[in-house]
Amino acid sequence: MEIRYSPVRFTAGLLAAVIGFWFVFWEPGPLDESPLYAIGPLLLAIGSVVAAIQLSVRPRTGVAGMAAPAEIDAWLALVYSGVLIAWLLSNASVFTVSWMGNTTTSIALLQIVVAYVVISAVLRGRRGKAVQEDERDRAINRSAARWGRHALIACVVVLMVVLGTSPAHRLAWATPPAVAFLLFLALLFGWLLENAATIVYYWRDRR
Amino acid sequence: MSGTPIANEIRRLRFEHGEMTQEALAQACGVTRQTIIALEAGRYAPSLELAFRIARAFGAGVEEVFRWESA
Repeated sequence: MEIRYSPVRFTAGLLAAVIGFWFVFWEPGPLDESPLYAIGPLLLAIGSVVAAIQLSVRPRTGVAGMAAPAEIDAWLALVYSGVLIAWLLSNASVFTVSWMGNTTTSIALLQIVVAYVVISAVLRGRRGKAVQEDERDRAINRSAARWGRHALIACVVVLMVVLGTSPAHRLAWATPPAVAFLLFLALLFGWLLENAATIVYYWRDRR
Repeated sequence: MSGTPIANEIRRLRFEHGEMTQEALAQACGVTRQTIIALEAGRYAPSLELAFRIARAFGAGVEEVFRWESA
């Protein structure tokens, strides 16, 4: 079935994603055991999928035609890594105590991750047999990956120094779940920076 | 990745080959259209393999498509 670009559907998808994003961060949500907890991540996921599909079938003219598939993937990854980091930070009080203790939060986290995997798979699938990545993209990815790696190393070194040099009585906060949470954030921050660097490299390459 | 001493005749050769589109050349060489755009604008130096692929798509030698442009 051929899907045609519709500005109305694109706007509706984007709107649903924004409303979902709002629910995730500003509604009572999972921490208050609200039955509406699932609406935010679900709206975010469905809205993002609809908007992404519409964007992928949009006639590639103007700025959209200039973006390489790998650049669009980097934008998607940047948005999702940003959403994930912001969401994790807003739920830090849960994750620093126990990762498995709050089922609703775990489900919401899973929904955000699954939404990203589904959207990127849908985008790749819709591109069909077209070349998705070539030697120029790989060169840009290599350069961008260095930024991500350095950011991850910096975060781990900071954590290592804090844990290794602080007196024991000042490390009451450093429970195993809290340290695992910080390491997870470091990983995500490295990914965020890698995607941001990828976008900057493509932008510089176009100038 | 911007600015390269390797100049090319890709744009001219495309038009001499029945106004071949960037997309068609990209498909023939197994790269994205954005890479062809970057090559034509002189912002990207291709690998030796890609240079040969492009030359082959035009039925020409590598030196007919690419040349070293000293500053």
